[in-house]
Amino acid sequence: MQHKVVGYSLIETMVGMTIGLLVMSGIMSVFGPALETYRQIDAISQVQEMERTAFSIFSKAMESAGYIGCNSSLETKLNHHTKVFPASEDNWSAMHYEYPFRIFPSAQNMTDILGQSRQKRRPLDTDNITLVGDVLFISGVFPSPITLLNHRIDSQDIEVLGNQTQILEAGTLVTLNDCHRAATFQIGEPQYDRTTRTTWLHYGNSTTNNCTAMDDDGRDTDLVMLGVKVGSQAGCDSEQSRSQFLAYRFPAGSQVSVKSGAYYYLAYPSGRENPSPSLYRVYVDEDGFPGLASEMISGVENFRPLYGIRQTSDGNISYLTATQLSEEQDIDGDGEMETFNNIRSIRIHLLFRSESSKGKKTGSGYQIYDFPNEDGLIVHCDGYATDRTACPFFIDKDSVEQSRYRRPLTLSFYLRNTNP
Amino acid sequence: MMNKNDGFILPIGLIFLLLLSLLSISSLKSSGLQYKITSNLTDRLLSFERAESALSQVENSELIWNMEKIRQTPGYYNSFNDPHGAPNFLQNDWDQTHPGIPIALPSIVSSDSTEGVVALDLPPPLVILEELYFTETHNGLNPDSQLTNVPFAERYIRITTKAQGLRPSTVTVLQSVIKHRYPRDTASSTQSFEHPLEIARVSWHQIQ
Repeated sequence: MQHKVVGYSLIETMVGMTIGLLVMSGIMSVFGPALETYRQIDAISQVQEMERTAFSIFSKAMESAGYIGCNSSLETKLNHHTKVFPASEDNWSAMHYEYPFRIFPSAQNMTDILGQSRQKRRPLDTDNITLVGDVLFISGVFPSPITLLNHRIDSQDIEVLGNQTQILEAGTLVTLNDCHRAATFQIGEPQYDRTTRTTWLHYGNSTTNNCTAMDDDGRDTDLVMLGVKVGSQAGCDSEQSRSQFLAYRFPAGSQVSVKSGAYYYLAYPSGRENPSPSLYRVYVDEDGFPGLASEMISGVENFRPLYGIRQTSDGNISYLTATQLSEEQDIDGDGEMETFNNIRSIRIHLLFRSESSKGKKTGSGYQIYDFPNEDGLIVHCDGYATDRTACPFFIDKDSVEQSRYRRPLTLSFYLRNTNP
Repeated sequence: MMNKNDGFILPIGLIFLLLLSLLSISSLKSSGLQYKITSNLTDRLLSFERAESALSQVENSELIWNMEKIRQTPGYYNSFNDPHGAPNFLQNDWDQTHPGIPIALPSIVSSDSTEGVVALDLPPPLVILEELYFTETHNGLNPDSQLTNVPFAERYIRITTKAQGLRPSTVTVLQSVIKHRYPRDTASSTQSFEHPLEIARVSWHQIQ
């Protein structure tokens, strides 16, 4: 009896397999590019999201940059004094508040700054800070309704309205602004007086150099001072300085505000595989020392702010690097050296890198982009450029890093709190 | 003859339905969250734009050039002469205890597919004007000294605006300070400092 043959013959199987292979290859040819496109779009959208976050962070910071109360366009009339808390440190903390911006082109400086924080009380996870790009410091004050009632020059005391002991403490850096002049100083322990419902703040340390003095022309002076030496002379308690300088008393109604500030810089996050630098922000505490560092955006490969100075001759804005601005030269042609107070606008260059690969096919070859170097010159980064300050991530062609999507972003902001 | 049904169609179908339901619920939740984030951002932007628009309207108005008129507005305060009476702009009570000037803005329209284009009824932004510093009366000098060699007298006026978005809880408070400059004629003892020669904005800040 013949068995009934069930199943496929060899020919049937081979025909089936051939048809299957043809169908599979068709499907693959459709899905392959679709997957590539998906990867590309995914990488682009990652970078777009980073750009949106960067814009949101910097636009908020720049809107209020340099705000010091009533008159934020005060230039040389702002001065500062600290009682120096803790006593072992110098006045570096107040130094940063002199201008709306301050820049630290050298990585060593930033390590020193964060080191201060570490020495003080807050250990930062930044023992091996390798900085890329510049460090930007933006200063200002917190909005404050604290109103001055009485300024006693002789005892270096100021009386403010209400109980402010919750906001102010010993060591807090405050700015006193009467619209015409401003001073930054560090206060001692605030004392609340229940009967008058006012708070007393002491800023002096009972030395002869502590007084409030100004130049006697009454205008355009940089000698509005609280408790610091006036020029090379002794303090205003001495007969000599009394003849030269007049004490300046801030009138009732002046605004008292707590200083604020933030550093922005790029550094490598620790404990991550194949990390790219991240953008960090460190807020400065009330007493002027840096607080904890927060990672704001990961995948930021370069960071260069350029500062805009308006030319006196034609009104155009020239953009300079921090180093160029620190070199004490007259750029706008008004006969005076430029400082960070002459900045009218800021242009921030950032280079973003996607977290995921943008696909193999499009990943080969060096991605081309333009970026300013430390001299402010735009460098064409095409894999052959040797300027590592503009093109820091020149990577081998076969490296996985090469397959990331990179895009430079330029953000320009007009600064509201500048001289009109 | 009755068929014996022992297939898995029903349970498998139910499992698939359950999986699909879970998938659609999670995507709905995710899109709901995205919608909330976007609508919050939109509302914040709307309140900011309205506050900035009101601030700009006051800064560029004729009112700001006339000190006499400023003093007659209901939202005027002299914070230097009366520090106790100054409004606390960090607390939002200043529009009740210290009334502000309502600023009329073009109405915001919303295009809704069901209702068509509708105008949104939003309360107008409020503005208060504070007179701060005047170099003629507050020179801060001690002992009594005069700013004799200054060719200009200066007065500072703080403008604070408050505007809300579609939700009453979305509030933006903006503040700017403008400076009036008056030419000073030392020969005249009856000089009026009501109409400034020029105006400049010297400070801007987002309070809230």
